Amino acid sequence: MNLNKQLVCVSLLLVSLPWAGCQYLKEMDHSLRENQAANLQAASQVISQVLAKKPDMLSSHGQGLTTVTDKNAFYCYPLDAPVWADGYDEEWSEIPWSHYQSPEGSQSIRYRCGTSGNQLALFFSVPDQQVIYNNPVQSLASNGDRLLLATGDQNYIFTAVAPGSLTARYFKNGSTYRESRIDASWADLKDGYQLEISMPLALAQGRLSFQVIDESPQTTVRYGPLLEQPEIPWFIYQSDAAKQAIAAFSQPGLRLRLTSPNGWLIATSGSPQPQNPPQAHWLLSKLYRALLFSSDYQQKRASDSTINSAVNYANQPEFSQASEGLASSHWYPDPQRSDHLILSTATPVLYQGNVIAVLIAEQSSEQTAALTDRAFSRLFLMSVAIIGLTALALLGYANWLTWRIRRLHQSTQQALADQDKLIADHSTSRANDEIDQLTHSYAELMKRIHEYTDYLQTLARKLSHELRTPLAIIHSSLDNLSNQPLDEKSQVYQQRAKDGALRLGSIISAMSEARRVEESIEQAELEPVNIAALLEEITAAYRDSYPTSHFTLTGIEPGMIDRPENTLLAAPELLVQMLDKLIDNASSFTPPNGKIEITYQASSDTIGIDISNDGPLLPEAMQSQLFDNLVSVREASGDKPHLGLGLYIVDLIVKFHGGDISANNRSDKSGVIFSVRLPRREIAIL
Amino acid sequence: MAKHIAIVEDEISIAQNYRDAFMQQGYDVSLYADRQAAMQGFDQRLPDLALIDIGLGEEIEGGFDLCRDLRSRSKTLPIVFLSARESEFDKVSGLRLGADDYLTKDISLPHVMARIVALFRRIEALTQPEAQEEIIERGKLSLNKARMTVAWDNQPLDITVTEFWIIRDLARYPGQVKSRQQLMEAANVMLDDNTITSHIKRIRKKFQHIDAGFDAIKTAYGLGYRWHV
Repeated sequence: MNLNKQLVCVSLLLVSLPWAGCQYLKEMDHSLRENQAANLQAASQVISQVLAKKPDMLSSHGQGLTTVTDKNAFYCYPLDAPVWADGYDEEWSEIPWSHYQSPEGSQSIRYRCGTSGNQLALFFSVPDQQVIYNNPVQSLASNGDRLLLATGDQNYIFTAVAPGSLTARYFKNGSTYRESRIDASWADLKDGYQLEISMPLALAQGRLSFQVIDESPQTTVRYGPLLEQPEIPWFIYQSDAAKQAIAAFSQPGLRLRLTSPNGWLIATSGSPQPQNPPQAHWLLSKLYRALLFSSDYQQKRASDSTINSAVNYANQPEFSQASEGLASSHWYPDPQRSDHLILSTATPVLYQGNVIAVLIAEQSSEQTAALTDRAFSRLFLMSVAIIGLTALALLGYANWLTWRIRRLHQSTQQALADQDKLIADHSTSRANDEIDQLTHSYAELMKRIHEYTDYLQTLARKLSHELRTPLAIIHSSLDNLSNQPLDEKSQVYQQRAKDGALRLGSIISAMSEARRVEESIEQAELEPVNIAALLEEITAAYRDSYPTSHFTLTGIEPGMIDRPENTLLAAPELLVQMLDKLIDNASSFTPPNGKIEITYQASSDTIGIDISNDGPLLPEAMQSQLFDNLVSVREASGDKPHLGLGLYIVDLIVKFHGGDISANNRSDKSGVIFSVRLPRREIAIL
Repeated sequence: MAKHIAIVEDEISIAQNYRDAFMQQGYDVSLYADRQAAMQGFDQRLPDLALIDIGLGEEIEGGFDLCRDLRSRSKTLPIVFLSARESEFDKVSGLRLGADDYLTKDISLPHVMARIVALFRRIEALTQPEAQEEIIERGKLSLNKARMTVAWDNQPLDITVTEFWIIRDLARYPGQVKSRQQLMEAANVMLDDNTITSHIKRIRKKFQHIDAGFDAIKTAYGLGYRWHV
């Protein structure tokens, strides 16, 4: 795994950034919603306090709602259209039935109640096994099956002489009067009758109750709420006055509702949905909901409570608290949009310490959601931008680092390969960091190695120079000694000293050989040399000099020696010296009667000489430094001093001729090949 | 009268060894350890031959200065450099200053002696009439053995004793390859192959200075050199 990949892996940690952002957004969303609830509650509190100061406004009856606690109170649903009292219930299909059950449970009446503008409409369905019509001959209102409707000031009696429209009558001072403002109609059912009544709202004076008088041939049965509760209860309806009272506080995205203390809806205003819901990109908001609301929303959606769409709030959790005087809130899933919630706040309206009404304020979570939506969009974009930028920067940085390390690596390799090259010191670069220091150290290290090699090279020269004088003393002393009369034993020792001194002398001159070659290279002059002829001549000489090895020379065709392509600008003495060294090297490794092959190749731009011998292979590791100074791959040296100079001298000479040399093992591993390539050059280098 | 040899050498052991050797051969020897002492000695009396080390004590090129001074006093006085330095540069410098030979210190005493004898003989021969001289003629080359002089196309070459011996050895049997070893022995030097190579190179140059087309000394690669007629 290279540095680039490693850094890319590390940069993956950046992904935690958006995660942290999401966590933060979740927190924010949560607190925003709590905030929203608190705000809504505070606003509701203010509204309810204002409402409480004008309790009259809450009811058209002018009595407040303090007494509207009776469970038998009529609730008048709002009707879509005015009711035509014809005895049939086609206008009532959407209005639920209310039920009256007599305490004994024997009788039950279904009824419906509604308002439309100033009209109050009632619809009764009375079970009766035997309908007995009114006999107007007996009395107008006191016989036959009849229904007594009690209002604020009058009790109206509805009885029919026949199915169809009828007249409401009331008693006053012992007389029977008819009320022409009331329309009513009677319709027979299979086992009972229906009564539909339409009257001006004002006529009822805010109170409603009723009783049914069921005549039969034997008895007369009376039942109905009026009998159980002689005080006629207020009826409840959605009055325009109350609506106006709360409409003053309505604002976009807020639905205000007013209910009676027992949960009946009195007025409603506004809609919980914001008018212009801000729209983020659908993909973004989907992603955002998926990330943020997974847990929270699921939980709320799973809760079985739903927002109330009916007119009775008595069963809503927030309402039940509010009816006891405590404000509370509740979250509901939005029935219209599955990914939103609706906040419902119920606040009691207190008048003289009593709950006279409950204010319910509903608001969509859209508002806060829009905020978090925007924040999320921004977070998303910024995260993407930051991650992208950081990843790019890291990648660039990694590339820069690897480039520098690679450069250091390359220059180290170069410095190793070519001793003349030092590591370029890039210390001028701005970054003064570890890599820079490493480069420094490497440059320093290579410089030291260089100095050390230089020192070793000059050491040989200096030693040979310095040793020469004491050696001259020994030599001259021994020479003088030989002129002295010596006994035989002394002469033996003298001879040994002489031999030793001579050997020392040859070591010293071997040590300085490289320098002498360098010197002769400096003074060498190039001349046209027929390499083929030179090789022929010298191979013959080698055959004499190294009788234990078999020399073969290939690549030179007879009669072709004098062709011009065999001629090269060269320093012949140096070439011979080079060949001497190579052959000396080859023969010293060749086993007795081994073969030394000299191969000559002339091409258009180079002349190649390969010298190949049987014998031990070169160690792989040493091949590149074989031609360096003071490097020897020989294990044991013989009587001749071996300082690792031979191939160094060869390299010097080859370089002087602009050529190159390589040493390789034979492909069949039977020996080694030294290959010299000399280029043809027109320009002599002096 | 015994010949007087001046040895200017800061290494006292070597100087004394040389003195002993020369005195045994019947020469009169003066030793000087530095340039000042040598100059004072030369002021009183010029030696017949001077053997000078190049580095004299603190003066690393004192020998060169001394040589210049001596040559200005006498054009014929044989001067031989004897130095541990073996660089071509030093050799060329020394011979340019008019030294008759440049020897490195690894030369053996008998070889030095042979050279001294040869130099004295040349001086003597120069003062003798030419009649009884042994002259080798090889084409354009004429070689006077006694005077140790070489002429090419009747123009004399300025050569050292070592060079004379090498030329003589080569020219004595034209066509015969002389190995470097043989040439070393002939020149009374114990040197390595490179030194013979550079001697041959120098000799060729000297001939080419007179005759640009000179190619009488042939290289036999791997073997040595031969005189080509």
